[in-house]
Amino acid sequence: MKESKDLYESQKLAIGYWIVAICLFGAQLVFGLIISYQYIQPEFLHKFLNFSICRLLHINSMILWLLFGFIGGIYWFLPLETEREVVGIFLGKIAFIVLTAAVSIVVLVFLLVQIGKGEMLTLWLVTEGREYIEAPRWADIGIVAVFSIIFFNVFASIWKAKKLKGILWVLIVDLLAIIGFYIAGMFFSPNISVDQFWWWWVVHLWVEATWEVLVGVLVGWVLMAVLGTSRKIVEGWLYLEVFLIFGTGILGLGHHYFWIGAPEYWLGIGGFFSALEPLPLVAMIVHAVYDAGVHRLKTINKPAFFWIVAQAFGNFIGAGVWGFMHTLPQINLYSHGTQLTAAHGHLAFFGAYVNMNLALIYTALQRIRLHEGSILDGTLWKWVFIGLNLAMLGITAPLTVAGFTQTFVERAVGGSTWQAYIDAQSHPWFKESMIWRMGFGIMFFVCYVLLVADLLTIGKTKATHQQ
Amino acid sequence: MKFGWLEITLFSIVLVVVISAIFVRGKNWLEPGFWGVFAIVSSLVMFSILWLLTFDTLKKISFGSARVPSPTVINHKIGFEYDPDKKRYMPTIGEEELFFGKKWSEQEATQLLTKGKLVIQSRNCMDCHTLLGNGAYFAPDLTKSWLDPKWQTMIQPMIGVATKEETMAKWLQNPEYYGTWQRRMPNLKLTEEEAKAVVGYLKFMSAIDTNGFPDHFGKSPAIF
Amino acid sequence: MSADSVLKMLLASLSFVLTAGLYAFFYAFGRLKGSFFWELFSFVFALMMMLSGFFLVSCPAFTLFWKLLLIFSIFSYLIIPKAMFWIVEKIHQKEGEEEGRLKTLK
Repeated sequence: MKESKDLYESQKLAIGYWIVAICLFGAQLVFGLIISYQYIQPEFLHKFLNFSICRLLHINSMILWLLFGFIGGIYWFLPLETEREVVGIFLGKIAFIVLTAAVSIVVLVFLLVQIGKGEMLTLWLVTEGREYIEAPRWADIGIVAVFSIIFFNVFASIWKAKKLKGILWVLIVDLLAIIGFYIAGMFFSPNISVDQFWWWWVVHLWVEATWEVLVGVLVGWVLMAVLGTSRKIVEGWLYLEVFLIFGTGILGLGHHYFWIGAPEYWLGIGGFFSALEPLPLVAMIVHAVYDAGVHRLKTINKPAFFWIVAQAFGNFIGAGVWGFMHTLPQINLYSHGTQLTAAHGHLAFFGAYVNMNLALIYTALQRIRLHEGSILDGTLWKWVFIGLNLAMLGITAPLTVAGFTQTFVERAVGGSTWQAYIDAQSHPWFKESMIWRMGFGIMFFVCYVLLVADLLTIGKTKATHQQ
Repeated sequence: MKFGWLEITLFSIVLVVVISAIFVRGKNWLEPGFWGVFAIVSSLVMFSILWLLTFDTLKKISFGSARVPSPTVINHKIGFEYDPDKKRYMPTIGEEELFFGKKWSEQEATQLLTKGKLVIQSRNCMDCHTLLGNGAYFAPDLTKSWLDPKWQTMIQPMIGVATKEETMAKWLQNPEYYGTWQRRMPNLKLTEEEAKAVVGYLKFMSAIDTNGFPDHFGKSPAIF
Repeated sequence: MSADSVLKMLLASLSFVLTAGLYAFFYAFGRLKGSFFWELFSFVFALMMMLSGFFLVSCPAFTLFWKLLLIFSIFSYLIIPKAMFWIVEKIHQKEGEEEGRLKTLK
């Protein structure tokens, strides 16, 4: 086994980020299970831990753990790329502690205080009450500060190593964009149309533009590490991806502006660009099949390789298929704000980002636990891989059926009223879907436990062998 | 803006292709640098257009514009009718009516809506309900809630007050007593002042022109 | 537009992109294995993709512009697998990637 003193300090910090990430992943699943049960039995924890609180913890812990995972990936690969220790690593460690402490405080406040009076102070201290970015304003400022430190780490290291080109150049610009767009979500407006206009700047431009590019950078690094893909191919492919993602994704923001009061031209612009968005994802499928087929036996890290291939397919199914299904404005007029959106969200986040994070962690585990040239493999990770993917499909298929029911019963027939909503939620297709979803949710949680067990043990047993 | 969306869309794409083509002359398309140029140009062009559109949109959705009415809209009757010219539903702003028994001045109405918005955020409404279709899906969409027939057909007789706004304010303060269904809204400890502000906000929100969402709200589908 | 047609449009647009992806998958798979059978099999999905696409085009809810956009998508999905396979092969040939990998992995 390799001594951990071979690792850069920055890589040890990456492990810290990943440990917190996996813990938050668990928290996300627990709150997800609670709210899925509240759909079946609404009195469960009523008044103590209402749906709204568990739901905001479910989505916020997801955002945070994915982000922690990405930051871990940056700290892991940065010293390898620059061939030197990260500049200002001490500051980076403090940032990690501050961030983790702030997250714990915010979670405790969400759990214990939950809501506040209708005044600005609540927005500063308790909750901002805007889906996905509920974190109170003090935490927002803290997040930007911490991110600035991380940006400093990255930029200073690259600058000192004189390697400001290629992949690292994309990383720098993308980190700046991530910080910049987050600031767009930090103000209050009594006009809800203005509020939601800027709110989507954060949510969409993070998730569908800057995160995608960050993942592109990380995928490139993982491919170089586990497949030995040449840097030139990775760079060309990354630029092409940035071109397609920013080319279609930035104005694709328009598909969120259909019904929030924004002018009619967004129907056309948003519909047009989001109709184009699946095209590159289909092209990526061909590339993934080619890579998987040609390199299948030559990888040195089986789990990371499988998760990275799953990422290409997951992105296509979650973002491409489930996204296009309800993106055209003529259809979205009826399907907007139904469980279809939930199905799309689950598949897309899992496909594009969860897969990526798991691939990252397995890539690092090989370096930590094995001698150079050994193959990371085992039995348990295969079950986890199959189980998590199946369970996610099992969660989203019923959500899709429920979404169809809502679109038809509540929106198209019922005219979207309170009673129409109740009719749709009481429809047998909807009610049974919720039970199926809960069942597969439990399966997902079991697989998560196995995943943790695998992450703790893989590479330590004799299942690994010399090449 | 005088240009239509189709012109904007095609213009942005043509601009990306033309500028990139100028910069990549002589480069092999299999070189990474070739696509690097496309990446930079498309990001810059698309982001600049987004900025221009943002300024235009913010102007068109400010208070008192054609799409987002002035806060004093709460002094008027509001409806949601099919517009044959636009081929979609449009909010209608009708004759004056009293809201909580009085006419609200511009300043008072703005204060009320600001309070209402703060209450909506501080109670995490968006994590059960959808507002303008965005939020969670555990409870009904509130976009046109002010126009919902249930307030008058079911809730008002249950509570027994004279007007719709009083019904809503009372109900919001004690949602658990007046259950409508097995999923009960929890008591979010709204004061009377806060409840009134939320009702004002819901009335204002129903007057926003949402491009026809939600289609045929509260009407029979036979007509479309 | 009737309530039924909303549901049909949803299903058609689901199957449109899904079958486009399956076509791309099996086409690439067939080419890689050099198997004519899998390549032929992939055309079943291409056909389904076209059928879903033309169903969407025929929906009266879409105006001329949207119909053109959808037709453009159908043709793109038809040629993407073949074109992308050609590009991927080209890139990998040019890099002589096999040697590069062997060097990295030792």
